[in-house]
Amino acid sequence: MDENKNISLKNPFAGFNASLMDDDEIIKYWIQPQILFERQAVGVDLTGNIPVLLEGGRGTGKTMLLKFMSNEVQVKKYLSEHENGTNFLEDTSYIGVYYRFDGPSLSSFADRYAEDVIWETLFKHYFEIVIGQKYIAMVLNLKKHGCLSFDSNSEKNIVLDILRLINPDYDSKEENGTLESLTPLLQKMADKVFQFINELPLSKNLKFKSRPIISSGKLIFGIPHVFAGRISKFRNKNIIILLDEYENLLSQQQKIVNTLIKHVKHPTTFRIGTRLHGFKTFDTLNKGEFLMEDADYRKILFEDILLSHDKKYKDLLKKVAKKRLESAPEFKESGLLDISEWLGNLSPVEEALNVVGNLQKENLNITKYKEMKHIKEIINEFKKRNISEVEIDKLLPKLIYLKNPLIEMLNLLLLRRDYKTTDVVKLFVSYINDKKGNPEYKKYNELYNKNDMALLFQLISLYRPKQKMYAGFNAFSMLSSGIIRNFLELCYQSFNISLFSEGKELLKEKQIPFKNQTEGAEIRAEKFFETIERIPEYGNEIKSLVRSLGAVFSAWHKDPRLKEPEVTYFCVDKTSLSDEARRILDTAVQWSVLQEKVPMKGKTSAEPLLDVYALNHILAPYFKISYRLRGRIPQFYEEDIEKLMLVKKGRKESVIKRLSRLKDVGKNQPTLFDFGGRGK
Amino acid sequence: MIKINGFVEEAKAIDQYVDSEIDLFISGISLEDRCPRGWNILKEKGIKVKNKIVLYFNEVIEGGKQKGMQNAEEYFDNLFDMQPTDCKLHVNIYDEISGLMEFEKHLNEIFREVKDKKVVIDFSIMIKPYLFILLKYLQDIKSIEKIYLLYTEPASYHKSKAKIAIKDGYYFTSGSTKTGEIPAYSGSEDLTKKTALIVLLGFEGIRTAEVVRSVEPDITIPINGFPAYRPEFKDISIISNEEILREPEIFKNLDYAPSNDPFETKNVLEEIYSKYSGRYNISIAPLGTKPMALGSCLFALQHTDCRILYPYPMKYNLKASTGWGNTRLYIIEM
Repeated sequence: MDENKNISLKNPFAGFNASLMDDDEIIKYWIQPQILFERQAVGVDLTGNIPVLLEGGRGTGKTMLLKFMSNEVQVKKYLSEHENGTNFLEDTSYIGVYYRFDGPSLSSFADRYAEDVIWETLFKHYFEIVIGQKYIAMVLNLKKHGCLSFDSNSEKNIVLDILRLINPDYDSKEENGTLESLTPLLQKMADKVFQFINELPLSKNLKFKSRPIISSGKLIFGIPHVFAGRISKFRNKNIIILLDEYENLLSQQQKIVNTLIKHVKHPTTFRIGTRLHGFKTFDTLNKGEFLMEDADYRKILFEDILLSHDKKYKDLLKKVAKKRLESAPEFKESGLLDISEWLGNLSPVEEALNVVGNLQKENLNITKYKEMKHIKEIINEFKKRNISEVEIDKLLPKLIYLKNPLIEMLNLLLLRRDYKTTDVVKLFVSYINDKKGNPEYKKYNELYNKNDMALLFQLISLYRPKQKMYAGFNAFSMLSSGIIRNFLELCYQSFNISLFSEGKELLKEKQIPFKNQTEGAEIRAEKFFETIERIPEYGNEIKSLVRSLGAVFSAWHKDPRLKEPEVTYFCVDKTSLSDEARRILDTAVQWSVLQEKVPMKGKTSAEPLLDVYALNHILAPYFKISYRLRGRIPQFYEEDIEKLMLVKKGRKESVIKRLSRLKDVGKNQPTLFDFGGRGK
Repeated sequence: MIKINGFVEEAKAIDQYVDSEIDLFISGISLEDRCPRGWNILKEKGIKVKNKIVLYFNEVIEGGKQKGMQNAEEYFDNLFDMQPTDCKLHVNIYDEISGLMEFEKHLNEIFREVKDKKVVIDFSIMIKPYLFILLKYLQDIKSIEKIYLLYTEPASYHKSKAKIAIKDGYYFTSGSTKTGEIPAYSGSEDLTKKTALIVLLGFEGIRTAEVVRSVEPDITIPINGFPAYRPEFKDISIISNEEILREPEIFKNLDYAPSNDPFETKNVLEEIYSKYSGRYNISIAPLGTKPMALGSCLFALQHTDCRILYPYPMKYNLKASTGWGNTRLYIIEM
């Protein structure tokens, strides 16, 4: 046995969750997503004074961005690039404080043992304490690293101002307060809140007696105002509150923070990180008032921006992956830092040749060729047209193209679509003779480009047990669906399999085998599918919908006439759905199981725009379907989606059969439960 | 800080530790075979029970009917020899607070005149949040010095044949409502500290990932049950939790505690606490065995700054195990 093979290498893609990274790792793995920072042209300034809402699925990079903007990371980064921190505040336009809303904790701020009004007051009070504490920690951090200094008299005045914000009745002028002394004071106030929450379930009629109670905005806007007034280096600086996981707030809690966003006071401003549909409400606490995009905040939709710039997105993925590869010494030493080289690219033609065997290399005669499964299908079409065996033998060579079985599949498709045999031959000949000026060439070329991937799926279905490959940098980029973490996970799984089987040999081979990439993609897809069930509240309904959609999409991939190529999305008028179905769809989008695309026109001009939902492409290997956005389920009605989500298995089958047009589909039609096995 | 000690004994020795008569026996109903073991042991030992409270989980009664039990309630009445004076509490399995409120009414009645209260709890099939709330409540009753807890191991867990099992995993639950703090165990957050999450690992890695995702802790410390009830269980829990354990920063913190000894689990948690509590707020997710969960409960009763997190499921598998193994007695001194 090769000794080298057994030496284990560290998977450079292990550990990619920004929330688990410390400040040093954030700096180490940070890649500036230029696409996002270039949004100033459309009025979105990530460091400016207008609040910005950062919306995106899990793993798109929101947390990384928000943490990167925090004062702790910014100061550390500055010190790594400069001799000292003296000029940090001169060189920056903002100072950020990061805070993540913790779901379990927030849900304890509401239960049936106290009235809503008490919870509202308590949450406002607590949120002020938390952010107040963050401000103090920020100034202490700046002071500690030499970015800020002030004499004891200035500090005393700042502390006094803050104490008066906390308690307007505070009247001690003699106390020699330090900023450090505010920390235990605020902590003590927070402890009272926790004590109340802990005692409430087992005590009846408990009252929150701690005083003072801080009103909303008092510290959040007040402390930055004090800093700007008392510290010259703070003047003209935005103090940005970076709030992560806004979706964890309960509706009433969001109203409280929405009110602060609506009435934001300079120099304070907000950056809000949330999943899609993470805003449960846009209302504020003031009746009839709500947050309005552009007037009150600007919005960045992560996936939309990333996916609409294919090249920039791929460049970003390469840069992110390069940082990971650099982190593993063996990879760094080898200089193999380009993920697109590690993954390579697998074209549909190359894959098709792998499926049928490379026929160019074999000396095939017509008899042997007629035994090929996809050629047999062409022969069947001829036979349906009552063409004699002799004629078939003459016609076949005119439709064969050894270099590319997909072309042969296109000829088969045209025959299935009832094109005249002579027309098919004419189109094909024009194409292979590269007669670019001919209308026949143009038509055939268009058909080929539109259907090549769909034809590949059909070809593979004829050559079972062969399976579709999910491999190559371009494929991984599309499978990731604009979610950087998906891409890193795909790389992680692929490297894991190769490192296990190849060990250090991998460094010599310089590429992850396509089969390992496919297996990695299948593992990722399976894990993604399994976690759907655990989505709070609607996990089972979403899983049911996804499983059904997968069955329908998969069936369409086998439609012999390819009426819709590569069906991976559906359209529906969301406003006509029941409240529950809408909530389920929103939740599916919030967890990136479905992705909303630009609305499309309905079938008639009178119809409203239809909402478009695509299955997250990361699931493509699970259902053995395409990872591109090409075809939609035709004739998909509101009641269909309701049934796929909500009704029991038996009644759902008939909807799936109708949507799949089962009568058109051959015996290879998958059933609802025919998915989810690697190498099935 | 209150003091909690305890030790483990074989259940058959229970008559050496409790008098021939106890004030209260608490248990719950389940479709699992081990459900009446604790009660049967008391009977075998001839220990007289003055009062009995049995939690009749509505979902179990319903599940029994669906499984063809003609009269599920009567079946459990017989299983626990329920007498008219005994207390049957019809409670919702998913609502431990309401359950506790029901429980509290009767407990106050039972304990009104008793000074040195002797309580035996069989928690083998008790849903974990119930166990936590119950012990918190008993802790608040000042005149309880000792609590006797019985726990019966299952002979085996249902594997893929279980109704809601998928793939090769052991699934005890399905779906999710939320990851929340167990009421009265919210802890106390030091605003200057980071977050540490201790996960007592179970077989449902998907639930571990759910808690980690909800908390996004700065550090995660997984604790595997070892020694386990059966040798292969320690490996199953590692494989099931691959999703989080593959993070090098998490895997390096992997620790162990015996799956059947709550006091050892508590000691392990004490060690972790002394190492990390200076810099971290500590949250604990008790997803491992029930004795391990009991250990974390005893620890949290003592360390009220720590919080207990629980991924509340949509559904519990009401017959997650078959047969029964050893029964142990845990004696808690408060």
